[in-house]
Amino acid sequence: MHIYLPIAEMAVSAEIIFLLSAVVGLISGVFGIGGGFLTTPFLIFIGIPPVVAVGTQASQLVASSLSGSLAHLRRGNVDLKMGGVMMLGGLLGSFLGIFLFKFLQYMGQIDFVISMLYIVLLGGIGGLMMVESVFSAIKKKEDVRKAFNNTRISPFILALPYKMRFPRSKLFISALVPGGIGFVGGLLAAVLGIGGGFLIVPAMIYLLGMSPLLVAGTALFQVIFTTASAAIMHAALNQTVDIVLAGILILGGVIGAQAGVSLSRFVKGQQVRIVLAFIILGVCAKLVFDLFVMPADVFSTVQAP
Amino acid sequence: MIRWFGYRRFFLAGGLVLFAAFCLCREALSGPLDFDLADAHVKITSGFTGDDLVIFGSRGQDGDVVVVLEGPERHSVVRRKESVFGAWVNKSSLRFENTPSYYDYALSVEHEEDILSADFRAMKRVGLSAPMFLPDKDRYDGKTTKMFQEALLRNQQNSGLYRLKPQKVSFLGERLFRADFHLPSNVPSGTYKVRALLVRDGEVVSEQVKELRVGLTGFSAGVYKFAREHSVLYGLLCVGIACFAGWLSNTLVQRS
Repeated sequence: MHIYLPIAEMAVSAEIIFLLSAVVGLISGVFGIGGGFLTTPFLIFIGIPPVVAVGTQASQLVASSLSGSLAHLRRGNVDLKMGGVMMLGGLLGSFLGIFLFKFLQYMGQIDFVISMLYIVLLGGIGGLMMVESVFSAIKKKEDVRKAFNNTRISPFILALPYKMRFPRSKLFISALVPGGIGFVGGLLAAVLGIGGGFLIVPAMIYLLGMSPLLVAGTALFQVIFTTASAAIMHAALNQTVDIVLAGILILGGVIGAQAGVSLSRFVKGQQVRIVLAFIILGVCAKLVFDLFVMPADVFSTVQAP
Repeated sequence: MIRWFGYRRFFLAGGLVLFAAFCLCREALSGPLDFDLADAHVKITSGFTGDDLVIFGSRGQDGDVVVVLEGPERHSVVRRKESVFGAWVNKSSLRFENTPSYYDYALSVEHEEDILSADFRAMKRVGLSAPMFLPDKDRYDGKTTKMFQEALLRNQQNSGLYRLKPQKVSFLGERLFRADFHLPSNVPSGTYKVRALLVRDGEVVSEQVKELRVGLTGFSAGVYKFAREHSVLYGLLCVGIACFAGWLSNTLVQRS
């Protein structure tokens, strides 16, 4: 069934968009990530203008992250204080991100910057996760537990000012660290239309030394706010949030995410991480290929009134 | 869909007969060229996947008929990617003012070159060619500029917005003609110009212009208008709906 998108000003196949968002929703539920890094490139690939893809995807992530974090909240897997500090950083990040986005758009470099950021972030994180997962799979289980218990938070982070107590996570750490992680997340939400879970989750584990049990829920919790602020600002400043497209994405996303959350109780962390690393590296490889192989037409045209 | 299409056909045929009768009646008075649109308003609804546009008219004297369909003018920015350390990045760009957002045309002959000189074709915009578009600044040499002009045409053609090969104007008898166009789903909205030209011996004998409105209606129009006029409220609404959907799905799963 074809449906006309009033903001994108084009017709798309509703089934394809629905299917895509359901699959991404499932992945997002299992891994505790937004999944935007899969949806946004795909939307651009089927011909939706990058500006509309980013703005709309941000509003879809509000639904999926809210739905996901409610499930985590009910199980007590959210550190609200930590999430709140991250949220403040995230709001600031998304605010600056929108202006960065508009500037890059004006310069004609937004597509390149989006691809490049994806490649650097996905390549780095995917690679690290892969190495980490393979090593911990080889090591004995007890060693891994021991390694986690003497979490190696860098002395630099411990020396930062504005220390705060986070009772739920049993951490005493500078508020600048979760705030900074949130800031980067907000920036990514505004520029790339993603929640940034693939960056935030490892950062929370490795920089904050948070318990992995709390990480997924807390990350999702702060993503609600960064993506909401990014979506509102994209709508207000760029007029690029398509409510019809968002509706289909939300419908598929929430259904997939609920299935994913239920599924996550039965899957093992180690294997799951290797799978996620593969997915991330796969998307990265595709983007590298697109960026470095000569395009069919080196010219492109944009029209505006 | 088929039924709807059938209806359209029925009305079209009816309209054509009426128009023919009308033309025959006032034949003595009629000018050299006259035409009308089967539908002067192309409505973009939620189910819009493109639309057919039929133009029918009559000529009062001998000559070849040209029908040009042009979308509202916009400016175009053409960018060229260059390899920078192996990555393909937008480097140079050229801006063109007053380029049509949509272009299609129909002829009663095979090629416009056969009936009109290059000057006339450029003046009346019959068929698009690279030199018709002038960049706003003479930033590059002639050869490079030409590459950008050609790229503009090629990109727009690949997006389905410019047709560089003419459609057919078919005659129904001696005087009556009809031209069929198809508007794709990504057709830009705005006020279009439909021009019909009667050409004889390399001269434009008569020209008629009519307006065609292509616009969103119903739900789509409401969304478009609301998103532009109350953009902050629209953003809040989108996020509100998203929040509700997220909460609802979670609650439903919890209950079951």
